[in-house]
Amino acid sequence: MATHRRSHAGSGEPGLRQLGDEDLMQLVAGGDARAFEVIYERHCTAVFSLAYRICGVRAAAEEVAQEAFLAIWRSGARYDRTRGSVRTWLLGVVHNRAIDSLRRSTAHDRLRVADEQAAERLEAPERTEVEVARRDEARSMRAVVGTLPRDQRRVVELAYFGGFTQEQIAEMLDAPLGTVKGRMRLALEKLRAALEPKEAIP
Amino acid sequence: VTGAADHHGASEQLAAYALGALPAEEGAQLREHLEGCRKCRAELASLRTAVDALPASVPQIEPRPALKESVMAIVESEAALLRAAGETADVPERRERRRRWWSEVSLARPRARLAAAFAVAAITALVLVLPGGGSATRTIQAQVSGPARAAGARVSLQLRGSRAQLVVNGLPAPGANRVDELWVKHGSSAPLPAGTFVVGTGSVVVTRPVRMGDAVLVTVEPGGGSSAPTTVPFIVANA
Repeated sequence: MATHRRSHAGSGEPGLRQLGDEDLMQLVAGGDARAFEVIYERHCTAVFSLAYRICGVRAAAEEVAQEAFLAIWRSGARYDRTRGSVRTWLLGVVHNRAIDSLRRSTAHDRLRVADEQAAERLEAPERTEVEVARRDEARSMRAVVGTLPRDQRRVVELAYFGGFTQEQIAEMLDAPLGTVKGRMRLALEKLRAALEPKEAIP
Repeated sequence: VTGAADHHGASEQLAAYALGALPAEEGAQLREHLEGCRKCRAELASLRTAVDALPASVPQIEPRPALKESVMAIVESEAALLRAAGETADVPERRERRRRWWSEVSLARPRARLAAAFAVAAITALVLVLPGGGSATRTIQAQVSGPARAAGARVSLQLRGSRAQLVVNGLPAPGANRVDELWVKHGSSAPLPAGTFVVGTGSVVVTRPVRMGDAVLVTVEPGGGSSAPTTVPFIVANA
């Protein structure tokens, strides 16, 4: 493993940029900081955006994003390409850490954050084609989520972005646990159905 | 063999599980069921495609350039350590010394002395500050040197004001009837005890306030801890 050749060129190195995430992760597992930098640049907006949506506070979101990227850097060898894309894996790590961070804060903060929609105003300027595509993807995904009945959308948001358990949600909404379970299931099934015909962004 | 009632109950939990909304025990129970139930595994995979798309629905916000600088500074230093570790693979076990090391080893120039005394598995002293907001957490990479058990450990100190916690990753237990003990050292005075711990991965609260210029140290001590260090610190973080 020590014989792996490392590149010491700047971040603008075109060779690495042409590699897919999966190939980059093999280099990252061997300790290649330049390969990791390309992964960072490719996904930092998605990572920070998810962390910010969950934490609701820039400092906490930066902390979560930093922890998640370092976890990816340090456990690159554990990436298993049969279990999904690097992006999905990375965002899964971000989600877990952001929820952990949120659960350390007070219930009041969490409710506020789960309800917050004001982040829209802070959206980054569009730069590259990929970013424009991601922005469009975000808009259309928001539209898809927006088509869910309000009750269903709310349980998904409280669970996924608010970090509440189904029992807590049932209590907060003063609804039977079975109803909450049913809403979660219906919401995810509708989202999945809405996603199917879509083409993924490379 | 899984009964139909069990299956039905498990199936009802899948959406909450995919969303991360099951309490830990229920999650563990479901995972057990999933191992033996292909139908539930397939359903979960299908529900997960919806959950995996949720991050794409949030407003896209670019992080500040400072975040990249901060992440890459740690990555570069660890990449350098990995290269160095490739060259000095075997780290001999440190011999315990019971002298009052702090009177003879100046923390201001620990590198040469520590390196001479032990095989140094990893040295990095890096202060990273995420700018913005006085209450921001400061993360300081700790220097980790012998014993061999610490060779793969990653340790950092997180400071918010004068409250500190040590974030430990991959540090094997110190052995039977032993604990790792935290110390806060202010200037040239003797280190003061700041809590004991036995944790492989997790965070440990430093029970004394830590101020700019203080050093947070970790030594191996007999179970129950000591009132003054009896071994040389193998983790050092300069606040």
